[in-house]
Amino acid sequence: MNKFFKILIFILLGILQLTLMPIFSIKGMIPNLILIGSIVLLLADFEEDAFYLAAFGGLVLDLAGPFFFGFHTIFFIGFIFLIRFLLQKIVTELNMLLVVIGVFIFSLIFGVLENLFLSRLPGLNILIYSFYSTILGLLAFTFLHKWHKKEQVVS
Amino acid sequence: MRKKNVINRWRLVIIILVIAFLGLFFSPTGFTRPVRNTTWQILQPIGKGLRLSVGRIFPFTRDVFQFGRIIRQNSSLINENLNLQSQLATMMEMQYENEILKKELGFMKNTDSRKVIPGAIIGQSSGYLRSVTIDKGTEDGLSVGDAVISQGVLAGVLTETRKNNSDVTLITDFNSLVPVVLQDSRGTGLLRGGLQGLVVEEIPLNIAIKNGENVVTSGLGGQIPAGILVGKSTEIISKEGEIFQKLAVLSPIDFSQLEVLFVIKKNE
Repeated sequence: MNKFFKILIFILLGILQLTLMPIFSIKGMIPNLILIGSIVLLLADFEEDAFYLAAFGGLVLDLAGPFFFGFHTIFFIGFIFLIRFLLQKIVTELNMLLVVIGVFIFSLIFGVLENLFLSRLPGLNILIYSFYSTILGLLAFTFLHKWHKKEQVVS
Repeated sequence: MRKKNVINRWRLVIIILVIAFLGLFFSPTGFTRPVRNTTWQILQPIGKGLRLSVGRIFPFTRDVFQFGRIIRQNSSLINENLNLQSQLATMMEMQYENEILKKELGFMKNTDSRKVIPGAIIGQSSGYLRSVTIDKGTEDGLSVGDAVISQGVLAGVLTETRKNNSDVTLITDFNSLVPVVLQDSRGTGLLRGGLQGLVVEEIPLNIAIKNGENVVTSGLGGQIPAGILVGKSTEIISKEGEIFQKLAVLSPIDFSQLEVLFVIKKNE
């Protein structure tokens, strides 16, 4: 797929995060599509796309978000760097469990950071947030995995 | 050579990171406010369109799975409706009597007219902050601290106003603090949101709270007008030995299905 077209999709994902995702909130918790998407893309071996999503999606969130400018972009790219480093050093084989652990833990960390920057202590709702994100992450990973397989068969 | 290749590969990501750091550096200058205003202005049609399409389908599909709750809610609403009809009849009589008495005493007409400005929700910028962005701003005369209602019930307070859009912090947010009064027992307190739901804190111990009494805004502080309904008291949740009483409150608003909000602007 064309790089320009991919970037456009990533920007669109950022827009959907701001406008569509609040409709799907559970107990007021809105999972972050950009964070989930970039982690899943990295774990599904789409490293370059993961960084682009973190950068462009994060930038869209920063343009509208309540935090200081750069909050989303810097943390998302930082997370992807960290996961990439951990994958190279520790993990030998990619599987579903890794997606569950990766999305859950990094959603939890991001939730804590968001709460701290909003000057409040994280509550139990952070677990709902991480659990919801993990389910979305698993769905995205399954879809991506099947789509990738299909593409390999075609080519 | 390898270094050059790496830079070429990640050129776009590096550019975005530089923009982010520059933005972070210049954040104290306040440039983010107009940027945020323009971004939400661009997103406005998308936000409204999605709420009118997907926003209507999703709550419906969710409600289908909660059939039992809807039946229970329906029967309690029928009872409440009958109760309110009888109360309305009594109130109308009292209002009539009040008008006659006012005329007799030569009272002036009530001049406390409030301007109500409707605002459509266009999005939400954080997963944790219980706040929504509406399509009205300072250009429409809104200012920080204005009360926001939905179906006549308090929904939140304006916490940031920009030229064409504003952020509303809902009363369910942990940082929201609204002075309220219990309508029957006349006890005053502070309404706070949070994970445990709406809670009125700091009610003096000598107040005998009634179950199911209305909680309304007290008007203390000036910006939020007095008498706006917040909800009904459900139970006292303070423990023995505490120096103030704590009360759980149930709002009739379904905060997950908000579409249009109304900002109450006091006439100056």
